[in-house]
Amino acid sequence: MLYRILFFIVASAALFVQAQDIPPVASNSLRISYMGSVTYPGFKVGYEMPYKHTQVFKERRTGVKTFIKERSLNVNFGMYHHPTFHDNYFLQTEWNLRRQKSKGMFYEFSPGMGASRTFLTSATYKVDDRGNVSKIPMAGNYYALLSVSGSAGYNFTVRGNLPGKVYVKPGLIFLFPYSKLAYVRPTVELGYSWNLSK
Amino acid sequence: MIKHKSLLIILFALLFHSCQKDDFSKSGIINDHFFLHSDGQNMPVTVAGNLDPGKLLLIVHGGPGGNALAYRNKYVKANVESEFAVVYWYQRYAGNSQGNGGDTHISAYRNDLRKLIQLLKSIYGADKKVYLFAHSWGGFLAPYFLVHEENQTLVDGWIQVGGAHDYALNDSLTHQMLKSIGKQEIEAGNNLKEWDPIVEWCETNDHNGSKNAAKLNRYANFAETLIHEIERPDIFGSDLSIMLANQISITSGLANSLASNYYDITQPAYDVKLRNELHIITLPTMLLWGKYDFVCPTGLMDELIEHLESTAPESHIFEKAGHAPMYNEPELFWETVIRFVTNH
Repeated sequence: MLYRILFFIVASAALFVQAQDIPPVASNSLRISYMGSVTYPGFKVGYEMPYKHTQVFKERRTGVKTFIKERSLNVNFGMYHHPTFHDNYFLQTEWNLRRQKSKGMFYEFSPGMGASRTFLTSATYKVDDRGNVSKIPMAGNYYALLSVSGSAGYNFTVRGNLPGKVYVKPGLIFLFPYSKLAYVRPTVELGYSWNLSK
Repeated sequence: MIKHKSLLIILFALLFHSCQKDDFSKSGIINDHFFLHSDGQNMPVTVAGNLDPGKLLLIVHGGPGGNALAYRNKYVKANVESEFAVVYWYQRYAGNSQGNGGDTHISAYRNDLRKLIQLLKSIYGADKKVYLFAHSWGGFLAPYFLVHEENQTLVDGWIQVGGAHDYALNDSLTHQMLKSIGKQEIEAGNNLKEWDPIVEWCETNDHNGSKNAAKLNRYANFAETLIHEIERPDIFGSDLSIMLANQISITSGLANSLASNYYDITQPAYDVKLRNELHIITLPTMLLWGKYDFVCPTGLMDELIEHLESTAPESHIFEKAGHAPMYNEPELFWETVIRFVTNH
């Protein structure tokens, strides 16, 4: 399963990366990441649409410090695979609050929401009142999804050498209603974001 | 562009494709995993071990919200699964069980157990013998299941381990045991700082009500850590390592445990008086208890012996054990279980 996911990430990237140009700091971009949870693999692909870009100047004793506040919306599709538990496929929108430093480092805070469908990883059966057994195809559940994550990364376009960013993004996914309450899943993303437009 | 779209569709198809085994072997060494769907919950079932003797030991775990695969430590894998197959079933609102909701009443657990046995017989053959291995809360669920309608005809034996078949009696016995052993320990000068508040609380509070029951349960678990006679062999690895080895979602276990507490699943059990119906059970029965079981004291075993006249149950008390004799004296404990299952 891990190899399938890695293959998918690399192959998907190849489809989009050919139309690159040197972009400005804020641009529409394609995000692709490995999204794991402890030892369980997954991935996430998304499209980022920036809508606000503010340059901030702050006076410090050492001089004037500048950074850029960026706001964007992401639309993501992702999944993770947890053997003996479930595979979860989800659609998600995230609101990105990014602080871009002048030397290339950036930090993000990203709350999100969406919907997910789990698929149980093994055959699933039901038994009726007469004791008749039948298999349930595509067994699983729909859940509402909330997420929150913070990330740190480096934007190569600031120095103009590569059209994108790398980032590491720890976060939490909440599925509900799960057993009448909520399920929390810690995740870590390692990703790359390709700039697609000027 | 069409080429790109086609490639993406193929990639997605590869990802979505997953193999779901449903051609289960009916003999030999097996290690199967499947789910039972019942009333809003999908409950994972692992069946592992030697199917050749035609016997399945079905673990009815503690809790509610406990961990079925916690029983599957290195010792059990090596010494019990080699003798017969063991069924590790996560009850609703426990471990990796999942779903949007589902009934939380104890009768739903009883229905699940019946469905599970019917499913096991459908998968592995109607000729397979099923033995209930009920621990703690599972020790309420098993007799609650067995006395209902024709359920006991589905199973071939019942092993009760530190079980709570009578919740009200259980609380009163725990209260009594904490007070009496606590006083003895204080007189002997053992762990005064720890025992003093326990005995003081027991002398000023009774066992009635859910708050007192919860407090007694916490004290009972803590009291076991103060008894030096209880053996604690460190041969299994930590609970965390067992959970990771069995790919249990820790946060699902936490969510389900929280739900079990929040919905107070055991509350209706206080109104069920099984003692009046225990005589219905005619199965081969074995009762296994730890001498220092503060959580479900040995008085519960005495009551079972009194009301299970027709089965003439075997009973064993493990002298160096508490609420989980399978961990405290694993060799003696599992030898006893294997002998019972082999002989019946």
